[in-house]
Amino acid sequence: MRMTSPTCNAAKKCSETGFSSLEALAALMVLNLLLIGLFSRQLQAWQAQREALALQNTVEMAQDLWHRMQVNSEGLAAYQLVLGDKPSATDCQSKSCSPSDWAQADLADWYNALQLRMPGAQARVQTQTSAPPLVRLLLAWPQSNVDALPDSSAVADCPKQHRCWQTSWPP
Amino acid sequence: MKPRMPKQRGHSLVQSLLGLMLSMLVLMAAFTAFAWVQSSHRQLQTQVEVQQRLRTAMQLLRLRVQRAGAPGLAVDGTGKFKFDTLSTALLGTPNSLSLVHWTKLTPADCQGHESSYLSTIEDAFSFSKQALVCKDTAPEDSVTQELVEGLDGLSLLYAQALPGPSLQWRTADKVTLWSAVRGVQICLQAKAVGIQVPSSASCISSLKAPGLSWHGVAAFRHFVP
Repeated sequence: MRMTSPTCNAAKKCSETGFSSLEALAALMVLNLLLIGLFSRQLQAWQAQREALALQNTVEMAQDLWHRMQVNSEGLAAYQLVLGDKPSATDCQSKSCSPSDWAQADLADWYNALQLRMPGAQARVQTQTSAPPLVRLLLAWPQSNVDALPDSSAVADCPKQHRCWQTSWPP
Repeated sequence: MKPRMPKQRGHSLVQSLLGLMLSMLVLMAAFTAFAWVQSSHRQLQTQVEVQQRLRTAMQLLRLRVQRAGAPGLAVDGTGKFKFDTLSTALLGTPNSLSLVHWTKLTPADCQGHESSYLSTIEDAFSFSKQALVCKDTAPEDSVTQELVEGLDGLSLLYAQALPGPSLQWRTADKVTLWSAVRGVQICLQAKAVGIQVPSSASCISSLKAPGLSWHGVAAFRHFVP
């Protein structure tokens, strides 16, 4: 970069040219790149925090489902939910419910709680009562930039543009 | 002779203005982006804090409900082992919950105080002054302590097992047999300033103010069959 010469005097001819426009634009581009880098880091931190919050919520929703199944151990087999389906609500407060109806009401209530915490989330619940008894839960929640986050393609049946988390436990 | 001034070539006015305009655009874009990130970050931070309060309250209640009434092991008159059960380990109202534990299994009460002379301890959870509070077991000079602050409301329903077999969610005044309660539905709400909350989100019907509302179930595992 050409700088102003400090040795100019009357005897010695010199020319002071300052910065050229090209140099000024190059400096502006460097500043741009720095700002973009800084901005993308901030965005990444924000996304990571959102992701952490979502994962915390998924674990709690799984815990909640476990508790619900403990209350209604007779109706375990009825805890089934297909991914993308919304369970229909059953009123078990104004009248008593059979274990299978209770399971439906439970799933509907649990699904509502899930929507409050993670809007747009989908869930799949598979309960196997034959040996070995097992409950499988898959949770999928919308995420526009799935590529920027740890890979969730290992989770089978994960819908596109969604992040997925799955777990299983013996009832 | 007058000395000649050196020829100086700087930016032209048009170049300077163009540079200034470009710089302004870059800085404006940067400030807008940072402001957006900052505001989103602040909103997320508030959400994290509110959820943390709700989570702490929910986990605490769940843990204590789950442990309540766990039978202790004892030896009967003939030298055989038997389970010591508690006849009523759970009692509640619409916004308070009393849970009883054997001291030998759960030595500390909800405030963390241990008793060396009581065979059972009691957690008395309730909602008071925008907080989840708990009264300790001390028979005299019992103290109530705030466990989770910044809450708007607490509402409880009880799952009572009925012959059939069937189950029903009941409010405390409609529970006919506390030993047949198998679980508690906990509904908590906290103030959520700066967070968008759906208007129909509250699980506490009496609360009109918008807030972050969570509901979940705590299984009372040691109910008397």
